[in-house]
Amino acid sequence: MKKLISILRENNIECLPNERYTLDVEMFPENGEAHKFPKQVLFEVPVLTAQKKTVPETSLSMFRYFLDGAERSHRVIDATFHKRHYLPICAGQVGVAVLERLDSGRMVPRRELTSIENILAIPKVLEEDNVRDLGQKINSEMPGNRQFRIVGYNVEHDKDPADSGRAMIIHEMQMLELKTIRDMISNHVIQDERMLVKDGGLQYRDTKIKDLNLSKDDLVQLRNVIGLAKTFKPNMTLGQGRGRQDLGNLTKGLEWKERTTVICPDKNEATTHGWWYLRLRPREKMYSPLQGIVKIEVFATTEDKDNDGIAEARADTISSYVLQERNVTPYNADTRWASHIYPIYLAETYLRSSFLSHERFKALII
Amino acid sequence: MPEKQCIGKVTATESKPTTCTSVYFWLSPDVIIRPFDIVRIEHIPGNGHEKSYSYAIVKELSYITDSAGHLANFVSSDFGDIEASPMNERLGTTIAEADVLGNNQNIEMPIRDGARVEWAGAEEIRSALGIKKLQKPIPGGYIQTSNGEEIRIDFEARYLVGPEAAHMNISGMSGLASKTSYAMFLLSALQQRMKDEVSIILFNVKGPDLLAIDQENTELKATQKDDWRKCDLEPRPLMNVTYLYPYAKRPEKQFTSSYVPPDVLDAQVQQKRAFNYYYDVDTFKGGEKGDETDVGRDKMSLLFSDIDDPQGTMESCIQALGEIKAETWEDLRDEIQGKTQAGQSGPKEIPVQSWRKFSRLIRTKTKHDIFSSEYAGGDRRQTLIIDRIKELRPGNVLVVDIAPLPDYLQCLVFGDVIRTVFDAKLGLYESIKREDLGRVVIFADELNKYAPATSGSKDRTLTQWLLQVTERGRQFSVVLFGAEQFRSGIHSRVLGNCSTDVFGRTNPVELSKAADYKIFSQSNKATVTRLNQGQMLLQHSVFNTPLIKVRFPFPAYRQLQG
Repeated sequence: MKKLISILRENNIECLPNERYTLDVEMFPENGEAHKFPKQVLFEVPVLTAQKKTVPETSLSMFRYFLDGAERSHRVIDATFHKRHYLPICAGQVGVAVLERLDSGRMVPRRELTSIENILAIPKVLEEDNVRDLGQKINSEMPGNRQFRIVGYNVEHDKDPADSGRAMIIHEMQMLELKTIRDMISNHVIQDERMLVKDGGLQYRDTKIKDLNLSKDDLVQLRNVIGLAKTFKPNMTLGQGRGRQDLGNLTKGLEWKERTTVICPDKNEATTHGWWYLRLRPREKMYSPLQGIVKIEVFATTEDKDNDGIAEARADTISSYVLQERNVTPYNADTRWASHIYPIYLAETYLRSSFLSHERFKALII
Repeated sequence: MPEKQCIGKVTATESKPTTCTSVYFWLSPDVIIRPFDIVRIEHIPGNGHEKSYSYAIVKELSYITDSAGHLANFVSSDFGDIEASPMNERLGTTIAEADVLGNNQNIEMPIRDGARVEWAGAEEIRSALGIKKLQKPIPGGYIQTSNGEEIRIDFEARYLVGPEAAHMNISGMSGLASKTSYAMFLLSALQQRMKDEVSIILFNVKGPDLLAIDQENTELKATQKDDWRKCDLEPRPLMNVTYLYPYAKRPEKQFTSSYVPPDVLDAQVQQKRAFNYYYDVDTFKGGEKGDETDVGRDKMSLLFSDIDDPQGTMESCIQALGEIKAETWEDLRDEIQGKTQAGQSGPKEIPVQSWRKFSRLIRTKTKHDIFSSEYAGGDRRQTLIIDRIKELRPGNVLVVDIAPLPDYLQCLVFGDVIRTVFDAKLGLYESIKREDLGRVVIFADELNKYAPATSGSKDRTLTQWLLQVTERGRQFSVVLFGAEQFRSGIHSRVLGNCSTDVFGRTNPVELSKAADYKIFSQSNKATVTRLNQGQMLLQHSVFNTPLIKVRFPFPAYRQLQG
């Protein structure tokens, strides 16, 4: 088996191995907060004047599937293109894993919904057919389960090209997540009583949702997809005028089992989802008032959009399900344990164990 | 070989790799398995094309979870709320640790990660344990696997009763370990399988326990009879049994002091199977012709087995006794009394005080009714033990009842039997052809009385005889089956010469004291403290594993209550 770098060199791309960079800030970063919203407004009907409330407890949960997407990217090669450009080539593994919770409570992986891909992000300075040929040559030398998909990233003057390369890999991961969600919806895996919890937010660009090409009936099922984010930015401003306050201020006042009101981006923009925060763990046991809070995201249904807000009952029910997931915990095994739910932790662990190690992945390339 | 149901897969990690001798595997969540189950595991082909199978015996089971610590579990219950019921089941699996027994293509490479683990079949298990192709198998019980298989476990006769190796030791707590039941089961198996080769002598040491071993156990249930058939044996009592009871001048009890119930004794008397043994003075004169005075003197020294005699005074007196002329016990006592008078002729190494002590002890120790002469008038069914041993033939059983006797007399009788059989096998008795006796298996409970662990001092006469039997007995077809409560209390050389060891339930204190238990794994130690009645751990020369846990059937002979 030839190394990827040799194949590139054979194709007249001057390459230097780059071993210094691992692009991951952390191995499994959160991606949900990637987009900024200029202002955030209340999005719940009826309006929750207290801006927070206690969540009713339930003994059951409609959460059936748990999805986690992850990527691991490397700036592997610095290459000279057309004897002019000196740009990085990034490589990464992207993957999505889905676990199902059986009636017995046991978690089992849904292998048909779990996939891992190797991505090679090349700057868009090569012609498309050139890229295609290169891809074919690379994959003809790679074993069947180690094939690469070549994607191009845009080279922008004001950005580090390695960041653009990584952003492309993250984009591919999000597309894989969305494709998995689409498959689950179109195969009727996701239903009203068999909901999907996804790690991270649901703040996909509208175009990505549109790219899913979901039918009208299938779009309805998006209401059964929940996003759970472990991190959020406490300095985001919520509301307008005198009533506005920073998110951190609102969430630190949450007691155990309380949630905030639902929030959405500026209503003037095309609204696709809303979110709120829930305290999963007793505040007095946490080292910081913001620890133990989880961000819950849902897609807005047509009805929600019509009513100009997500129904209180829906937010309550989903919150009570999430609250039910608080035990058991990956305490001491994951630093984010307080805002983590165990099935997602398992999905992460499963996916992580399916990735090639850094060393083996690098060995394919240089 | 066709594939069977997969019950788990091998796991080899950096910290716990598989080796030539051990393997770990995780178990499918619905599988129930226990220590001593035997599994087969797929392995690399030895011949290049057909995959091989390794066999392994489960040693330890552990359940692991991804919990980083106990505190994580505490936190997972809402920080210690005992009412909290978690929605999510923590990720966990059972990991089995097993010892590799062998491979069907003789591959000794460590088993690979991810290899399929399956239940082993009955014949595969027998082959893996090394008991499939025995020359003369003697059933030693059966194992019950977790998947419902019941497999007979055999000993190899050559290694159980000689000539390659011999002797067996059974240890375990009184009342719970069922040591005697196991010994009787094995003796029955020997009688059923080696009727023409093995004769049996056994001692009844407790109440009337073994005094109706030729009578059927009418309370044996159908399932218990099935247990016998699982071992390929008939559920029947021992046959051709002769009983020797200690003689006593008690006409109302058929001239014996035995605890045998009258109805049982009457039946045995009627069948001419019950005799009362006694000791005449000639026993202490020597061998067959009375000219082997050493044997007689040694037997006399057995009378002092419960006397603390660090200077060997009694032994010196016995040696200095010279040729005994007395014909009756009274004459003997008088003869010895004569030595206690001052002004004796001859060597003066032994002070008169020692002779007086010796005389006093002889007088006390020989007061028991078994020290008697043959009664001239009327039949008291008196017999000398040697006469019964002369008549012992393969297929026959001789039960010697020593239960009513005090300890020193139990030692005397036991020592007398051992020495007589051994001497007969050495060809020292003209009237006994050594081959007539067959292989003589002697079963003695409470072996600690006869061969106690040495405490630095010189071994007693009886212990020396037992050492001779266990060290040389297999050559001369004298086999000792011993049982005791505590292995730590037995002479190490007696234990060391046993080719078969049987472990019944014992207590943790004994586990820490007896060196032999140190080789047990933690799980085996736990098992041996929890064995139920009817279960034993076996160690035998031909087994491919150090220990096998077996079940054995309930006794098929009448159970007399003490």
